[in-house]
Amino acid sequence: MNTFPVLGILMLPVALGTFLTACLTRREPLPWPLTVAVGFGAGTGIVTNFFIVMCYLPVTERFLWVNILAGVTAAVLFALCVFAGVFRRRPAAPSGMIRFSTLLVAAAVLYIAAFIVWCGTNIPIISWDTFETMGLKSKSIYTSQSLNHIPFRDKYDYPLHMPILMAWISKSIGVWDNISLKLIFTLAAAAAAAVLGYVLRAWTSLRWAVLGVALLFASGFLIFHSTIAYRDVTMMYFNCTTVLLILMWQRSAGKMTVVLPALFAGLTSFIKLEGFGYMAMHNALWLAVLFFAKNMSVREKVTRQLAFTAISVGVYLIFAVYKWMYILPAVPDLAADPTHFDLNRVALAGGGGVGHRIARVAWRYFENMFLSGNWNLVWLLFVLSLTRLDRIRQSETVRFLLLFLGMFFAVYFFGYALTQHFVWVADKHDVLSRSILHVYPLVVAVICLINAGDDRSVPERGLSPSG
Amino acid sequence: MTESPSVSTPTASHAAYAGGVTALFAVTGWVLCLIGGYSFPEALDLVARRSYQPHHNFMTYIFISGLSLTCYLFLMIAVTVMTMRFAARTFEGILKPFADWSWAAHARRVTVIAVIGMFAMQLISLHGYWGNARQIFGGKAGYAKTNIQQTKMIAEALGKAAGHRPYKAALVTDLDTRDGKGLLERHILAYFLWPVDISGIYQKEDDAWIAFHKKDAARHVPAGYTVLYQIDDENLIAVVAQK
Repeated sequence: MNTFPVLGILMLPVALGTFLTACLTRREPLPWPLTVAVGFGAGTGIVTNFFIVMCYLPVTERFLWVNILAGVTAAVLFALCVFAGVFRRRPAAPSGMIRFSTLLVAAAVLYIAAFIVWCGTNIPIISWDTFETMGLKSKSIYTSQSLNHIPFRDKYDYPLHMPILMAWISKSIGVWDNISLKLIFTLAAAAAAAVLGYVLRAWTSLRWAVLGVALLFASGFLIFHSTIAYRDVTMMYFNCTTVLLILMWQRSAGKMTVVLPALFAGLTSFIKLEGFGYMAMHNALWLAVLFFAKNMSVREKVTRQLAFTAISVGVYLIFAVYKWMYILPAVPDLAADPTHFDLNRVALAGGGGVGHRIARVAWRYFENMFLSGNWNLVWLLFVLSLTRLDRIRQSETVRFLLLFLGMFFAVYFFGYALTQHFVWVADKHDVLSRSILHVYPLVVAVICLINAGDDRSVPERGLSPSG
Repeated sequence: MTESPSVSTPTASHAAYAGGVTALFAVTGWVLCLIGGYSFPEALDLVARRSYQPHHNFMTYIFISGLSLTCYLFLMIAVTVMTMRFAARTFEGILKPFADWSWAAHARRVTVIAVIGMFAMQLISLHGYWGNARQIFGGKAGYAKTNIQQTKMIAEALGKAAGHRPYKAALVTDLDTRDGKGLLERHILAYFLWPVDISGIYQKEDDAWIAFHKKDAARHVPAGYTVLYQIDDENLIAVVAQK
């Protein structure tokens, strides 16, 4: 078991990401646990992108160079944090009375957390996708320190964040450990829960933050995915953190940095193929936030939109350009590959029966959200929460969250109903649950934000006490 | 007239409301069991044991008489909401715990209690699942007690015999590796064999030959190959003979 070596080497990206987050949020500081939870994603994303950058260069010991680059960057960011005095200016978590019922819910959440950690540190890689795609790709990167073998594997166009991260950890600790590597999936779930909890803590109350995290883990599907080596919980973490960072920016009235949500939007595209679509939705959400922003000139809005798009697309291009230049041209029989997942190849499905396909996809969604064992009764609670139109009218944040969820469901619904991807939902359960998982924390956030007013009047405010 | 503190304090009223809803759930559940011919305690036990049935693509709920458990929950919620709405109107003035008495407000509160109830059931089920997982994976057992262990041991033995060199091997097997369990076996073998490649990743001619669950494997070794290591009748690795 290499739990501690894995945790030890992960300190490097976590430190890098935490210092970067602390630096970028120096004007609108976040609480430390939230800074670290965001830093986990930023740091691991930067490290894997460093590897892609190294793949453009004619070097051999690429992981060594990644470590040097990450170490130097973390040191520079640490020095910047010290000089800027950001360590002295973190807001303390607001104190308050904790009710017994809240403690009871917290105890249940802690039990589930203990279960997830136990699974993450005891159950080895046993899942289909990990053996089939991610694991073998990762092992080939681990042994070759390159992406040379990727064109000759199935699903060669999949983004490579997780395979590279697994290979980097293994190379850094000197051994491939089928159990300890799963820690990164556990940590992604923990980071997602921490981000949601702290955001709800700041926007509502401690009680609703605990309830929000409990609602998150009321989903058995999320619990199970936190214990296996699939990329969907990581995708969920990056996608939802991006949306919540965008809304933090909106609530801070533009005081927070543009860079952090834009960086996360770009990194989202590097987890799964769907991430590219999510990045486009993040850009659309950002556009909507800017469109409705008050006290901001058109010039400022245009500048910020350009900055967001340039950073997110720039991060996306690091891998996309490598893929177009080196991976796709090397794929044998690329044009003849019928099961190609690339979004560039999405085509309208020919023939009639569009009505039948729409009805079928609608039924599949209903079945998944309301009749399965995936989500407890959270979707019913979500629908019932939407009846509180007065609360939705009061809260701009809720409206933006609903806008994002609307885009998500519209794209997927018509994507499945009108394209060749209908096959994935028509008679199979392969993709729908996992795609819904990618936005599940946002559904919980909407429920909590709408209903939090039951306790007290919740003014719209940012994360920091001054916000 | 002043209201009694025991009624007007939110905690007591919330508790009374929650108690009423829970009692109604129990009654409707019991009636449903009577109609379906099930024992109520046994049905509760079934839900508690099987609320957490993990699957990486879709978690099926318990099906009773051809319907998902959630259908019965929706029915119980609907009955409870109607009853609570009726009770709230009937006892208006005595019990005023909430500002909003609308249908939707009742539905939200009742659903929250249903979510908590299902969450509790899920925790009980998860506790049982954890106990089973501890028996299989506890004590750093790894794959030892799983059905992956045999394939892993074969792959590791063959890989070790190959000196963990990057051979490109042709795979021969009696398993149907096009779909299902056979395909998974192939993926597991490929994963544990690496850097020996059975997936056509290395861009070179085959320089190894692997028999995996192939009867009389030794008889099928192609000409020009020498057996490097044979585990049993069905599993072996051969490499191109040195010229």
